[in-house]
Amino acid sequence: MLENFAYVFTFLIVGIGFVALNLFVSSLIRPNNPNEQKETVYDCGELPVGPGFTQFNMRFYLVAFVFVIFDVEIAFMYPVTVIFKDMVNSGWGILAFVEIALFIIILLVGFIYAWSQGGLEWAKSIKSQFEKTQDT
Amino acid sequence: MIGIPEIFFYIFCALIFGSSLLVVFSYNLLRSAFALFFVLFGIAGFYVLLGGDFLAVIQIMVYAGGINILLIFGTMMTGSISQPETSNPSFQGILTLIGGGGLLLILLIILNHTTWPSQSLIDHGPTTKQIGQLLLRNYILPFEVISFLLVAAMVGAIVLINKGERS
Amino acid sequence: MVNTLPYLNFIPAYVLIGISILIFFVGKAVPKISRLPVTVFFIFILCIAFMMEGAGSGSQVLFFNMIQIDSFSRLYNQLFFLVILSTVLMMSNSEEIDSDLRWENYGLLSTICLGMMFMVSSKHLLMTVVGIELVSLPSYLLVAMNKKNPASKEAALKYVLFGSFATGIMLYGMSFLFGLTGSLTFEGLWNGLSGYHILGSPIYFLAIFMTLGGIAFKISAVPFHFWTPDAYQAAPTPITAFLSCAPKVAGLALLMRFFAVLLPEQSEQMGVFISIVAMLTMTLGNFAALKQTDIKRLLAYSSISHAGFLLMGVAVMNDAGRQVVFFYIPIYLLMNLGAFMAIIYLSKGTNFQIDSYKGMIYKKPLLVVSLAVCMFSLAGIPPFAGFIGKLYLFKVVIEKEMFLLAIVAGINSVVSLYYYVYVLKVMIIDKDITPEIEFKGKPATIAFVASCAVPLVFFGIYWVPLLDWASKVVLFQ
Repeated sequence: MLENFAYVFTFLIVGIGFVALNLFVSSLIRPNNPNEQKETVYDCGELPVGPGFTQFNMRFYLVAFVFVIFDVEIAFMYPVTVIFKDMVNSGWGILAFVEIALFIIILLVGFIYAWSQGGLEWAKSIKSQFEKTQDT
Repeated sequence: MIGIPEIFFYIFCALIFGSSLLVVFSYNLLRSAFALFFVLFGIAGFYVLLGGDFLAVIQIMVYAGGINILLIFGTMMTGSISQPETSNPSFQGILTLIGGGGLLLILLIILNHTTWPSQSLIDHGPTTKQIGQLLLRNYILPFEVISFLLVAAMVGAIVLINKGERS
Repeated sequence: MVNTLPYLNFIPAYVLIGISILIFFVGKAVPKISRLPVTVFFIFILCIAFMMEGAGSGSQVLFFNMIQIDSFSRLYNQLFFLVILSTVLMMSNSEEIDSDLRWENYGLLSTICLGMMFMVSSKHLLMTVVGIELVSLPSYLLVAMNKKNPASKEAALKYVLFGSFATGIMLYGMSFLFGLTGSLTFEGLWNGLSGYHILGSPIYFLAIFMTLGGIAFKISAVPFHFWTPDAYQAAPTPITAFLSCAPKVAGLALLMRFFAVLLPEQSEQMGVFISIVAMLTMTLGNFAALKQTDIKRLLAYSSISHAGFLLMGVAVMNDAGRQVVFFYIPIYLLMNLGAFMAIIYLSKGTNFQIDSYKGMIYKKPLLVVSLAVCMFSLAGIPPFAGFIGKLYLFKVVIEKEMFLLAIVAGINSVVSLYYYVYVLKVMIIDKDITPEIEFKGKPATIAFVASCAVPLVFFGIYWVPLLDWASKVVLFQ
């Protein structure tokens, strides 16, 4: 099995090597005359506003959190999908289905809650922020 | 005679040790959070060496890919993040050093003097199917109950964030 | 492959509580449902679950050695339902609870309930971890949800950090246990550890101590008690009352089940170890309580010392000890819940200083008398039930010839008298200097405290029904 991971390792090396090699080659052939304009942070071509280190909105955390929860759910569901066909063939398909469906239904409750309580709403918070700036 | 797995073991050791030093001693909180990625990645490497291929992928997917992002978002919400030099005071005093060092010493001595009932590392092949069978059979109860934990965590996060926004 | 669904017949209460968690979270999401009287619904569910556990019989190992259903687990589950029922009553009478978040609060309480039920019935380390986490995580959240005290967030963070640290230590210890024995069920574990080259070696103690760390965190035993005063002080008072009873009881029950299948020589060692922890816990809790000025911190330390007393019953490692622990727990619940409910009524805002209760007896005589009964009972003064509970604890310890433990516990009982009586002295003897204040609490609160105090007097005189109930608590039956 370790041999199989040799492929993974090869990809890793090639991936890192590709970036490193390109940076190295381009540093050899590009002209090097920096100025103030060039050294500003690249932000989609716009001029950067304010420092990068600012306190973020808590919504980001919430979305990341919901993502992690469903990430963990996938981690649990993946092995079940691998053996699901075997289970169906041996006549236990219904049981496997019920078990995994229970798991998903329970997590769906969390999702319904998040949705109904505005955990996934961006427009609301952005709108209120917009109104705040309008007032001032 | 050092085989290829041993070489990789030491590579991963160096990776984990080096980046965990960064996590602990970096004065920039965000840099600590990013360095944690390499610690978690190195642990995935250990799982591969021990024959847990599924676990290794999950480690990268959930920990390196999910929880680490969560931590980075978390650090971005800290109040004094705009002064990265003061956001992470690293040295907590001499007592913590003694405590941590003492614990390390005790663990090292005890673990070194133990004869573990060890098995030779047999090449098991892919483990995903076995894990799937165990999840649906022997470990069905924890498997279902864990989802309640996830739901409670999600509800709690939403309640606290909504409350924080209102106040 | 064995069909697992018929197993659900044996665990109706577990299924009911699980479904109720889902109902609470979905119910909040549907606007029409979320206006319904949720408290009544929750009380109804708890009563049904109580009856379901009462109707069960027999001993059953379920889900491939994951949990064991027996009279032990059934009776403890009934206790949990009762505690949660009283917590719900306290919550609906407290100003610190956000009434907009009723559905969430009850959902989280049911999650804790499910976790505690799995803690008392688990016979597998994995299930133990899941149970402990199911209790811990909603507890952190409930501590953070104090409407009036912003410090509750800080306290909750301390609690989270300490809790994850304890869980980490526990999991590390469990990984050692698995490495040594190759098994995760309790029987497999102790049998595997009985090998002569493992028994008594440093790694044996290290692994077991680390594993017990996580459980010690739940019962806030020394040295895992640091979170207790801070979390208890800042949490909403009903939640403080709940945390000082239920998770502690679940932790003790888990400990007893964990130690139930010990081999004789292991039982000897573990008994000594637990009795040392018990002595440290009660001594530290009592002496720290002496200098507290905040009533919630005082009761936090008092609950630490009571955890120490209850550990005495665990330390003797036999059926008599387990039954005495169960005998003492309902008494402890009554006196603790009664004391906290009285505090909810008497306190204004976030002020829980003992000095602010001066001369309360002249304003609310019935309440203060009931509180006095609870306090005397906590101290273990003769005519009240707390004394009988302690007496039985001393009896089993002396029968097991653990004289040092008995002596230390005796000294501690005397010390604890000081701070309980101090609170009563402030309330009864000290002259009132504060201006006239309005009590916003409902009369139901006073009725609640009184209904805690009456059984304490009754059981102090005639405790046979309690003894009968406790004698039904037998593992594996």
